[in-house]
Amino acid sequence: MTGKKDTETEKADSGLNRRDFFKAGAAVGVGAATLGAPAIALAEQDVPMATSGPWDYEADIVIAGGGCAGITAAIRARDTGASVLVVDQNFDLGGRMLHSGSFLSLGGGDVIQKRDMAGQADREGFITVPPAEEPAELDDSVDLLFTDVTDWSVVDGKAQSPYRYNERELMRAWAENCPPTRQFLMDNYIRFTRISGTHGGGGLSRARAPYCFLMLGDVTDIKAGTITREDAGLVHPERTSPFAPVQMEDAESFVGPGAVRNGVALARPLEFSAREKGVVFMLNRRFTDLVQDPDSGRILGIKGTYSPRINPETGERLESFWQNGNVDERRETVSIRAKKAVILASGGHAGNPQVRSMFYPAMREPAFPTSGMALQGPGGQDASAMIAALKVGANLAGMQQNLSYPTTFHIATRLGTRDAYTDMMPGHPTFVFRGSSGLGVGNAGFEEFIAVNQVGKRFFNEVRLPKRPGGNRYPGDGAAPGQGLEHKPRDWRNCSAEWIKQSYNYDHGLDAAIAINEGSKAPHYYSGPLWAIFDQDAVDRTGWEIRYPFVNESNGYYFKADTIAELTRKIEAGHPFQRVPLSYLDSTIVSWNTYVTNNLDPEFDRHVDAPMYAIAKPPFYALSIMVIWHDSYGGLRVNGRQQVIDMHGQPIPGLYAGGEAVGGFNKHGLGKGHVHGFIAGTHAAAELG
Amino acid sequence: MPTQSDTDAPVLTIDLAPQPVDAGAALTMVIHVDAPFGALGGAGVVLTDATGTELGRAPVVVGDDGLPVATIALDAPALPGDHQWQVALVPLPSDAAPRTATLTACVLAHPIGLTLWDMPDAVQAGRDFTFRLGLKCPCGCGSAHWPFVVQDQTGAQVAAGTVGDAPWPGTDALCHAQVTLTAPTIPGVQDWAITALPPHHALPHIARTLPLRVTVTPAADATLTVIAVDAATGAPVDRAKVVAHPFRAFTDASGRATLHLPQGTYTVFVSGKQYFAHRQTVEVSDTATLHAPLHIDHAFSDADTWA
Repeated sequence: MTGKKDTETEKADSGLNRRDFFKAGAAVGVGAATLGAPAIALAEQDVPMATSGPWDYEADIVIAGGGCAGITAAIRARDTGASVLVVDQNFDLGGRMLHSGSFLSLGGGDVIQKRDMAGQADREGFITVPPAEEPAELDDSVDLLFTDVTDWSVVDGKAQSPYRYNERELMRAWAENCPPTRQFLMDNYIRFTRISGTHGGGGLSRARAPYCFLMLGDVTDIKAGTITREDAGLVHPERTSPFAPVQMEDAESFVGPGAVRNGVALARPLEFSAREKGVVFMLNRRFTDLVQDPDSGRILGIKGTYSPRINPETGERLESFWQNGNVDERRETVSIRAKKAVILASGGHAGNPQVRSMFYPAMREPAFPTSGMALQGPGGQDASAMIAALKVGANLAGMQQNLSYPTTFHIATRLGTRDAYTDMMPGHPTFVFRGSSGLGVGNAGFEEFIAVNQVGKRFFNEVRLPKRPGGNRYPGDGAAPGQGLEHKPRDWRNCSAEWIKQSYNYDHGLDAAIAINEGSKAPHYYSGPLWAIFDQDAVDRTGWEIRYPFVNESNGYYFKADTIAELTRKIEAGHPFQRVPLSYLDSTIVSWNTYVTNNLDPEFDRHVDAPMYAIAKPPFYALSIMVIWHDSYGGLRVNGRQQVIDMHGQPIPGLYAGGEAVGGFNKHGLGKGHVHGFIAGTHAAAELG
Repeated sequence: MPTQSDTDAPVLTIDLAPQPVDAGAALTMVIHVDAPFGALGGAGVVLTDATGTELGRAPVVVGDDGLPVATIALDAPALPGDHQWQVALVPLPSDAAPRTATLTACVLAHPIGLTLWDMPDAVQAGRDFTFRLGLKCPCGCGSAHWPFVVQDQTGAQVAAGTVGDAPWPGTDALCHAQVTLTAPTIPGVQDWAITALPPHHALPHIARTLPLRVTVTPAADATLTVIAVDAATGAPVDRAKVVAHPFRAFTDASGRATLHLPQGTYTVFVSGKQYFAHRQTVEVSDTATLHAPLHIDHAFSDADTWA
């Protein structure tokens, strides 16, 4: 469905429904005028103005990026009365928050921890299940949270130290702002489920993370907290909606019957609130540069280029689901003055192979994307904040921390799609950019095939390829000997050599996957793509559904052939990153079948871990295996006010940053971005304009 | 492509693709002429082989880049190997010396895709066993009635035949045959071989041989029963895969699989869709039962997988 659908229910007295939103149109003033309530008046007065002279637009606060950090900062600044303009490179808002699982780890004694400790339901009474965690597991404080996220003693199953390198000032500010951020999100239409554990990097001592949810209903009404099955992508198991790029999941166990969860229940309500309050959005606009006063060093504004996303099949531009509050600006380049401050919230560098190679040269391989590649497009996670801020003298922080989180880069268990991190189905307008949802085979599925590199050679024990340690989070995951409430922060036993020997749990399969091989050539020595090769017997054994939308015969990530020789030729001709011949595939299959017959894999000891099966019965199949660089932990150095710090340790006037653009905080997921946005919005709005 | 030119301009530069090329497959030759188009006066190029036989010709036209170019499309020769060819610019500009360039075209005989399946992992001494084989040329030559032979460990031919003309179900054009052979009478492992022979065909094909390992076991005198259950719920696991090399089976709806095998010690794997492999060593003397609690694949929760 789209925002244009004429069957949607009008509901004039309960705030905005989607029809109102769409009818509000693209013009800012008109859009604001339909909203009713005092915020509209503010919006009419304070919308970013098209100006003459060197600036095309101006606003008090200009934010690069409309994801979890950017939208939160926008609302926070807008609440103080500032005019706010958000530019985003994509056609719709939400960034990766929209395709996330909405597992939002805060803590420090936040209001949801207290609610669950008291055994209370939510204010609206949607939650009908008891708390998932015991009161003692929720008994938290800012001091304990700060201790947890600066704990020098924790060493994970990869022998990395997730907390000790975190910036102390940043962590203190984050911990102190977790409780108010939780309340702030709730004040902006976010509903939280029962808390269940903690997200990676959020500490080992207490349970701190709920999901976000909406209730299934007859109408999608953000104010009422309801969503239709159609918008939630639940009408058909193989189809989603323009509202929800990833189908929403059942949340009954954390809420009660009829509840659904994922990033849609976070991103859409937050976007709704921002639009309602008069935040203005310029979509399809890629932030490229900061404008700095050469004398004072103050940041005066930004520049951005037009970045429409065009459906390759129809030639039409993709349009955002809601459009009120949008500025439809299509000039190639515009400059936008920020009267108070610029906030950089345009994400990290996971989608920029050149920047990634700073941390791991083999990850310069462009065949491997970041997660949400189809949803975000080529401008997603493009390191724009880091690149622009370095030009104005910014410092960096936590650059080694990209190597310290097990999800940063990993081998996905979803095969046959380039966008292997999520399972987007047809129905969202960006599905066309991936062409297939992929086939989720799980970790256990890796015993069904052999994995080969770009020249057709095996490179590792397949069943160990997707293995990675847990996320250093409550209640344990083996990152410390004491699990749950038994964990003792800053205890030397957490990192004794004896414990680390016992807890080490990492096979370096990913590193073998991206290694130099016979097809790697100077200067980049790209590893090339990876292929899962199997036969009809594997399909019969597993029941894998080798069909659209799971795979797509024309997107270059799935091939089927009568013989291995033919399969080889099809891959060589049809995959965009298959740069060299798969010269060894045929001989690899012959060798493998001999290993199966002998029950002995002399190369990688597969016979020790799992059964082996011959690859013999036609037809034969190849599905892409993807290395995913998910997120970023190194980035711009900021202080406790989210001000970007220069190489001399001084704040760059008028410049703030948050979320994945920021380094020095090894926190996975949303908790980092929302709190950063809350802090940045608070302080940026207080700047003298 | 290697280019050789005579002394003066215009120089001929030749791109030939693909290289190497399958015998009889389409070839495209692009000849770039390093001279102003206006000076060429309606010239063309002629391609000849080493005997002087003309293989093709084309006019010189203005290419996409604005420079003179001629394109000759032809089929590769049937004869595999390196072919020495010559390209000449004709007619020549009135005041110019003859212009030619030579090149080498590499032509390959076609491979034969040979695949062998449904071979029993173990055969009983002296008993007949069957398997299937399929043949296909990846260059698109039809493979109906193409020949094959099977040789035993000594090299003696134990079977010969041809594949049929109907494709194996699920394939586009894989012609196949079922082969029945008799196992050796002595238990052990023998390395036989199956060879797809070059067919009688206008284009050359290369014989392809695959190893055929025959694992001969003593008569089955013991029974191993495997019971696969979900470790968390205790529920039986249907279609779990059981491998006690070289014997294989699936469990039924009650979670049971029965393998008839010779007495001995086996390392048994039991795994299933979404279940990690359970590994256990079992000594089977007469009858043995193995209980396999299977752990479901949830090494990564939502919290790990999703931001």
